Amino acid sequence: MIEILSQSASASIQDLGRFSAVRWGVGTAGAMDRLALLCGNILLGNADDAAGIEAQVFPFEVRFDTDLAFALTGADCAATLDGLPLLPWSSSRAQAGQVLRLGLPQAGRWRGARTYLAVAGGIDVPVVLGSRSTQLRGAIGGLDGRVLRQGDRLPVGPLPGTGIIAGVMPPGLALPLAADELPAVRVLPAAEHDAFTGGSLARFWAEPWKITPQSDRYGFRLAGPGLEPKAPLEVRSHGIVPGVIQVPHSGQPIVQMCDAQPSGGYPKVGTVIDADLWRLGQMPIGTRFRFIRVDWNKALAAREEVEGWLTEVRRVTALLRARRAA
Amino acid sequence: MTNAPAVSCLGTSALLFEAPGETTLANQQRIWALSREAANWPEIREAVPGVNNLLLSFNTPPRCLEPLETRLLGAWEEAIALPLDGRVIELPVVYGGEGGPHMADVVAHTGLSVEEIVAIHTAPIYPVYALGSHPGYCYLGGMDPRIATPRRKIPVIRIPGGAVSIGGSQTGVSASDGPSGWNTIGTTEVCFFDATRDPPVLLQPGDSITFRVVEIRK
Amino acid sequence: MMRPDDLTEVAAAMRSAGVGRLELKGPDFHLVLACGAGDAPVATEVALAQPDAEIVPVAAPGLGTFLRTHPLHDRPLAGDGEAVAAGQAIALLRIGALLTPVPAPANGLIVGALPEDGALVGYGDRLFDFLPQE
Repeated sequence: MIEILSQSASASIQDLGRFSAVRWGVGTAGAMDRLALLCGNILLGNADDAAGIEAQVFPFEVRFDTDLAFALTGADCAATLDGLPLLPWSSSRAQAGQVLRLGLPQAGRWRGARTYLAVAGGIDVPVVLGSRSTQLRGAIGGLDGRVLRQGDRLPVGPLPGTGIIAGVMPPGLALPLAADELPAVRVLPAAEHDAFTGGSLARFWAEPWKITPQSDRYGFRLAGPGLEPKAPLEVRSHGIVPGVIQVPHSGQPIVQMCDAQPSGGYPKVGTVIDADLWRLGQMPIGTRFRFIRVDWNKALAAREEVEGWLTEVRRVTALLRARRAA
Repeated sequence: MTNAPAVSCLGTSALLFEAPGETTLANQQRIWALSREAANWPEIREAVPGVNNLLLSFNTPPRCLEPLETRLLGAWEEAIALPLDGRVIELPVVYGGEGGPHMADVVAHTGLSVEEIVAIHTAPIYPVYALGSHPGYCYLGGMDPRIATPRRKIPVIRIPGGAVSIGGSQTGVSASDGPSGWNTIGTTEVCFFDATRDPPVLLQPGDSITFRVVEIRK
Repeated sequence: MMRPDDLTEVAAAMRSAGVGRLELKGPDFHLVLACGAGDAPVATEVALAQPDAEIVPVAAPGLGTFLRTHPLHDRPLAGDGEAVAAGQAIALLRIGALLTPVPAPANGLIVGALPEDGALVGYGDRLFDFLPQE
């Protein structure tokens, strides 16, 4: 059991997402930084899709009611366990009664916005429509389909017994991506890309965009050079995926994120590739970043790079586990 | 509108197929057929019909898109409209009053009386084109253009589930609490989504809705 | 045994000579002076060791690249002369994408590290001189 001590109501239970109920109008939800949650699960010997807690507002505190191995990945929050400092992107062991405290995300060599607490055995809430992720609209999954509140006590699943105590190289450092010294994400053009004026498109690709305070798990509202359609655009309601960059009448794009509604009727200039969604999901409000235009092959290469890195994490984890057992 | 179907990608996660020409029920029936066919393809994780379009999400993105696009366009050519033979569900609606806060805006825009608007709104059988937006929400066809009213300039932060609304030339019913830019003219108490059931939705593409007046409140 | 005035003189001399760390050992004392960059020199830890106290080695628990600082941080996990708790990570060994912690063997002081930061070390290599304390 884990007990939530914090009052802030923005943490939620997430796994890698809910992917086969979109045709029912159910969005994917899931961790904004799936890579971080996955790394925590790998260190702990959990299944990839074990559920953890995503924290977005800090400080954030939980108490372990039982002895438990856990991992913290994502933003470095100068975390402490009963006041003793913990390393970021690492697994540790807690004893019953110990309090885990996540402080403010640190401005270090890589800065994140969300931290993931994975526990050995995973958070054991019911699987709904194939996932434990919290879908707020419709109150699906997670703990009663809502954000976590002070006093919530979360059950933990059967211990896998195969975890290791170690850290992972943060992917923000291992897989850097920048354009003109700003953090960047790769984008494939979408159906209405060529319906915007050449001039406004050139600025879209070449100039920095800023993540405004009106940004959250539903979508990131950006500020920057406006996009202008050549003629008024009528787009019928269609299914979308996280990463789709919609352009409303204002011309200021909105990147749809994990809790976005699964369909939309706005023009779309491009889609942030799935392999880079974790980068965007970890950019704090106020970040200035760039879009990098890629083609299909480059997008696949990006995906393979992430998969390759994960394979490496699994490989060395297995190596260390075997060595400890020997 | 284009004269030929269009296939585009949504990142490496999905393909989007747009049917050509105007939005029609006949096109939508062919989209249902296409969806049923493509859902069985090994590359495809899920087929998600939209309004005269189809989203196909990938299990793993294919190395090369062209063969899949060719197969998709070919399947569209072959697609025979599925019949509209689903269930017809009648929704009892209380029009106006507290549950219909924007009825006055529809009156103002159309120049019709509340009674006329309700009569026009309850006359058709509305086919369910697709689901989307939020769990259990149905995109409906068949609204009479006489009661079309533009979307609100300032969306409402929270409209309750069961809200019956008009947005532009479409009508729909919210399945759960949430924001809406449509004009809410009434309310119904039907449950559209239950995650514990299989399928979890009350209505699917191919079913239809009718609205029945329970009461008109001032 | 050194007196406090002596210590101040030594510290000042260190600063002007640009010496960052000075270690003195005698039959009944062990003194480490660490001089940080910038401000006034400070004796971070003065260890008046027991006559029979011993410096113990901390050996590498495995193979890897020796790191005294976490890749996200600017400051080392544990500096020379710093007091640490038993089990606290005082260095990391990087193996590919993973970082394994090197734990302090007991409560005590870091005397100094032997390998350069970034050096490849093998299982059993001496990584630190460590002074256990109660």
